[in-house]
Amino acid sequence: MTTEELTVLAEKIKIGKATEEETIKFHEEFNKLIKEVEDLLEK
Amino acid sequence: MKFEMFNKKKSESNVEVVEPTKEKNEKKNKLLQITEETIEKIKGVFTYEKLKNATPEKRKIVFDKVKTILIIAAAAGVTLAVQNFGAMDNVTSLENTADASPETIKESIGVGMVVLSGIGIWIKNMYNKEREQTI
Repeated sequence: MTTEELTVLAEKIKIGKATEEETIKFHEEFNKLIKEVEDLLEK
Repeated sequence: MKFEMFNKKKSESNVEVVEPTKEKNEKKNKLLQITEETIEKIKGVFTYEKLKNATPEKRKIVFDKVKTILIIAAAAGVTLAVQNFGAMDNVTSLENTADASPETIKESIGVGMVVLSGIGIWIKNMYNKEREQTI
């Protein structure tokens, strides 16, 4: 997912319009992003 | 195994198979745990000592990624991310961090840590809210 897609999904979550599947997908993708920073700093 | 049997029974009787609430909650709890652990890890490695010795290019990549995380978190309504948006903008302006002073780097890390903590709190609250709604 791109940053833009994640941002749109985040806004949907904020206004309570995201489905449960979308919310879970968001967290999976968001976790990946966080993990990238973690990996970068550990290298 | 029990769950499989449950599904089969329901399918045979043409009743719509719905993922049990317990399983959904377990999935959410696992995700929450992973997210919390990852944030804690980042807080552990996102330190002045680590960034001080990093190349300017690496610092730029790290700060850019943190800013992306912040943009998404702000869109999701993480108050701390929204509040620190201006400060994080300054963090990203450290693109040419070759000549950034140690004070500036420390300040940037401070903002990043606050934001990461905010994201952690937001995720926890969101899951708790969903759990309350499920119950």
